[in-house]
Order: sequence, then C-alpha cells, then structure tokens
Amino acid sequence: MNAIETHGLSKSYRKIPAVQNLDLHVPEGSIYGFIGENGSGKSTTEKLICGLLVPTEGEIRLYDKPYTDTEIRSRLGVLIENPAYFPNSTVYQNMMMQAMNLDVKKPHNDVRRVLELVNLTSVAGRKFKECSLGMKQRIGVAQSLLGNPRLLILDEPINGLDADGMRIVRETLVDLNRKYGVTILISSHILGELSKIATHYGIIRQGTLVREVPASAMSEECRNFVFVKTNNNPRALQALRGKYAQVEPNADGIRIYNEEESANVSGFLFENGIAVSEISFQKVGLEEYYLQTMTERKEVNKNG
Amino acid sequence: MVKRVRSLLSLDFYRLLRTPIFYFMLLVSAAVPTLILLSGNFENAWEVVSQTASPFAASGGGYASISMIFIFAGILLSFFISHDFKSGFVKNIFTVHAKKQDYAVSKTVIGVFSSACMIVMYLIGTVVTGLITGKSFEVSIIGLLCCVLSKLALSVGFSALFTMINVFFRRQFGFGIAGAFVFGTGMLVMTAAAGLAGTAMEPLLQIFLYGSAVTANLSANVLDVFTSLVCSLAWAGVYTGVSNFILKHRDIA
Repeated sequence: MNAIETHGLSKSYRKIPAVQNLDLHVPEGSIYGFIGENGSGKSTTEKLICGLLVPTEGEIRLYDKPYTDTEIRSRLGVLIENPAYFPNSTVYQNMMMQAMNLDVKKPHNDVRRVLELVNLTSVAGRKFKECSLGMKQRIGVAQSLLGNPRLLILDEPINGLDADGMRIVRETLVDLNRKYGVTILISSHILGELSKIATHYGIIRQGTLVREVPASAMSEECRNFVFVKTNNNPRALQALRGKYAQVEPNADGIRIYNEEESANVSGFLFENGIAVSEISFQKVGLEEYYLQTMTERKEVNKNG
Repeated sequence: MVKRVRSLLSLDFYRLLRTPIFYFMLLVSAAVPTLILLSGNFENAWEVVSQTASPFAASGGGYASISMIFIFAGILLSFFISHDFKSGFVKNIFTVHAKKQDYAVSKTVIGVFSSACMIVMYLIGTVVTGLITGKSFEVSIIGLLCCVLSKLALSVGFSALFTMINVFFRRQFGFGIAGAFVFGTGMLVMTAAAGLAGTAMEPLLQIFLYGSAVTANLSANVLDVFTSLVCSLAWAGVYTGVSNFILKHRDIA
C-alpha cells in the first residue's frame, strides 16, 4: 500500500501552474526523497498533501483513504518551510500546544520525549524567538515527532543545521523508519545527506514529476567508474580513449567506465609515460544522477 | 466532532490563559464601569450595566453599558486569530484538523468564554465602584439576571461574527478590530434604527445581534433571554457557515 498517492494533482496560482498533473506514489514504510530545483513545486506538493492548499484539480489519498480522513491526519507529523510557532511563547509552551492539537494523551511526557530525541531539553524554557536558526529547525523536527506519527512530511528539515545537527536528525529519522515503520517524505537540497537515508526518490521539475525510482534501481543505473588524476590529463585522456570505449574528462581528472579493465589503467598509463597521482573506484552519486536527469529532461523539452 | 473540537479547545484555552492581552481585557472590563460611574451623573450603579428602556438610537450614555464587552471580545479575538496566521501556527492546526469548521467553533467558544469572564469583571467593577461611591443598587433581580444572561447568550453570535471577520482578514488584525467596533457598537443597527424608531418596524431590529443586545436591558424577562438566545444561535450558525466556507475555499499557507 502507498502511504501517499496523488492522481492528476494540480495547483495553479492565478492561472500560473505550480504543480501539474502529479502522480506521486510514496510506498508505506519508505523514506522518500523528494528532490527538485527551487520553485519546482516541492513545497506546494507537500502543502497540498497536508491540506494547507486547495488543489485546483486531482486527488490525494493517504493510506488509501481520502486525505481529509481525521484519523490519518492526526497521525501526520509535518515540518514545512520552517517551524510555525508563536515567537513570544516558550519552546515548551509551543510544543505543548501542538501536543494538545494532536490530542496526545500525556502531552508533557511526549514533549519531553521529543525534545530529548533532538538534544534540546535545555532550551525548553526559552522563548521561541530567542532560539537560533539551527535550534528552530531541530525544534521543528521534534514537533513533527509528537504523537508518534505514522507519516512524516518534512520540507528541508536539515536546512541551517550544523554537521552534528544533521547527524542527529538523520539518525532519528532512520531510527523511526526502521524501528517503527514510519513513512517519511523528505525534501532537501542537501542531496549527499538525503542519499544516506532515502529508499525511494521522486524528482520534480517545473511542477511535473520527472522520475520516481527506488534507491536500489537508481543505484543500478548509477554506473561505477575508475577515477584517475595524472600529471598530464589531456595526454592521458587521449591515450585512454585509444584503449577504452567510455572515457570522460571530469573536473580535475578522468573517468573510465570499464570495471573489468580498471586494474590495468595504472599500468597502461605508466607504459605511456604518464604518472598517476590519484586513482580510485567511484560511483555516480545522487547529485550527479539528479543533474543528469534534469539535463535529459531539459533536452527533451527543448526538442519538443 | 466533539473529540476533534475538544483537542483544539484544549490548545486554545492553554494559549488564551497565557496570553497577556486576555488579562488586559479583563482589567479593561473592570475599569470601564468604574470610569463611567466616576465620570457620569448616575444615581444607581446598575445604570452602567444597562438602561431600563431600549434606546436604539444611542445618545449620551447610551453606549455606556455592559454591551461594550462585545467590542473587547472582538479585539481579543482579532489578536488571537491574526496571531495564528501571522506565526504560521495555523499550519499545525489545519494539518491535523481537516474539518475546517472545528477552527471556527473553537474560536467562537473562546470568544464566549472571554465574554463571560469580561461580564463578570464588568459586574465586579460596577459593584465595587458603586459601593465605594455610595451609589444605589436598587434593581429588579430578575431583570438584571435576564439582562446578563441575554448578553451572555448574545456573545455566541458576536464571537462567531468576529471569528468570521478575522478568518476573512487573517493577518490584518486592524480590520478585525475595526469590525469589532463597527459591529460591537451596533453602528449599522443604530443607523437603521434612526429611520425605524417609533415605527411598527422597530421590533424587527431585534432579529439582529445588536438589536437583541439593546432590547436585553434591565427590564428584560425570560422571553427576552430566549429571543436573544435564538437570535444569537441563528446568527452564529450563519457566521460559522461562512467562516467554514472561507477556510475551505482559500489556501491556508
């Protein structure tokens, strides 16, 4: 079963489309990385799913029920754009209000639990407006965990976090997903961080879903290659192109897409009088995969 | 629905009781009858609660009545609702509460509760100042009771009205406050009354909230309480319906 499913979902602002005919499928128990450029429609989609925007067209279903279903909505943890709290109330008061909103049975205990999860019990008595950006983000993540959610929708949750903050959030999310089967829809520009946890990806461009792919399938699509740096890259490139079919210059080195022959690369270059300063096995990462997908899409659009 | 609204109510009450402006409005509610009694030429302390007749077209001390708490409740609700939208907390609310009418109902209940507290403070202010200044307290107890109960009943309609205005204007609480003054002082009804006073049409003004509020004076009886309640609930239904419509058809954030 899909935790989130949309059919032909569209949203326009004054006839300008923000999301068009979107068919999203977020499998139950997955961590779904939702990626796209700025203004591509990620936040709009998430707001639509949360019922904060009125769709122009289309249908949204959560766990195979209409998205207005009260029971499901009360098990939804959300952080969209930034934590929405009363600036003059304390962190604790704000979280208590959200816990009450969710009808949590023992709100005080739950607030303490989630603040401990993100290492922020010490700021509970601080006014929300006095918290740093990083703290606010972590508070937002903590807030989304109130009431043991079944589905988390997180929009850029690691924005503004330091390395330690990112690690805490990442570990918390993975824990929730693995231990309690919480489904997570997460959008982020920090693709390296996202690739550490996502089990599925959805790529959106100009309000249209370009590709939906499980991380395992993406991994197969992402080819392995040998990366070499030499004392004379142009010469090395020329020599390697004579021997291997797929050789590409890349940044300050060269990529050879031929695993079987990779062991011979170093020897081959040495025989040609080229000194190797670095050689390693690598794999196309999420960022590159994403950029390739976007480039392909742009070309498809350009060619009509 | 009760369960849904209950969770929203617990949140709203938690917040209300930690909102300084709520306590400020309570103080204002107690201070107003004090100031009126001290500045006006009243022999009977209860005259600041209401008149014994029903002057639709207010003149002089016509406004000096407990009906002013409707304005205070309107101002309080304007701050309360606009801050929901300004802070963005409204996103948390509507993510959980898919049924938009819950929001309007909860805010109306908050308005009624605040109005009830303000009525009590207004009465306390009246009694204390009356005692200090040695005013007379002669009054028909039933009339006073019916008057206060009518105002309480009408606070349902007024709270729903102010909720609707603020749901429409959202962050712009200035409009909400202006609405509190326009409707809380019964400006529209007063204007209509100027043309209808003394005619056979005058009783029709009672179908409006402020019309009922004016009629519910110190000589009110059980029928007036009933009339106020029916009028209030009917308008509350209309205003809550409109609030729900606005919330359902407009983007929240």
